[in-house]
Amino acid sequence: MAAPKLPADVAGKYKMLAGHGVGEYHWSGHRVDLQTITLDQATSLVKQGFPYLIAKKQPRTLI
Amino acid sequence: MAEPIISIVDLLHANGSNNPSGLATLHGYANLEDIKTVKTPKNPGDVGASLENIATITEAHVFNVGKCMSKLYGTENKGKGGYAPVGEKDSMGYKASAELSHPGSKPVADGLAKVFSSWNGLVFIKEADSIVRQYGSPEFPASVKVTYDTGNNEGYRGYKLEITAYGQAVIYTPGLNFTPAAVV
Repeated sequence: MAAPKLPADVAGKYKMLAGHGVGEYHWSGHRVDLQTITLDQATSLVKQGFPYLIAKKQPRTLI
Repeated sequence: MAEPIISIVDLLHANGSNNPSGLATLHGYANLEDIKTVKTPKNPGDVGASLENIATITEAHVFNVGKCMSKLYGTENKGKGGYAPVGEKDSMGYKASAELSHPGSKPVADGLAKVFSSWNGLVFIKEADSIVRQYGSPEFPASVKVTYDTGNNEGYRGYKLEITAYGQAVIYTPGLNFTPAAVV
């Protein structure tokens, strides 16, 4: 069975902390299911310090 | 006397702060051998050590591939945790202890009681405000004593877990991780 993945839009902006799987975490009063998380929820959690999602470096857009 | 190895700060309590007592109902536990890298608090003599980070683990433990914490349910208002000093002045340490009550009469719980009789692991207890504390360390794994009691007809049937470990029950800010570790 393939390992669960982050939703595509979330995966475009964030990657998992090395060595950690996509699934259920209980952090700071939040029950987080990373398989179904929305991008807004992910961004909000990361801003609050959720340690399991790491922001990807976004490629620079050349004007 | 030598220079203090760490700076002290004011210890205050903000007016209106939320401070619920007791435990939440979902906790975690893990075999030490399932953890590839166990993160620890800083030592007081470390560079960058502060009162906040010498008794707090801020980085997530890294589990072996396919491993993670297991869930441990405890009935509300029947559990508690904490730590207390042991030893003498200038040589004082701490001993952490927690109690959980798990309802029922279950083969799995009976089996766990056997495993806990000779177990090296960590227990992660979630407090009522969702702060998670780790009981046990690689040097002093948690000890879990399980008793089973049917109770009487107006009582409580289930298991009482008494968890102890030398050392403080340090705050573990990454929380509870119930997802098996992935291949890096």
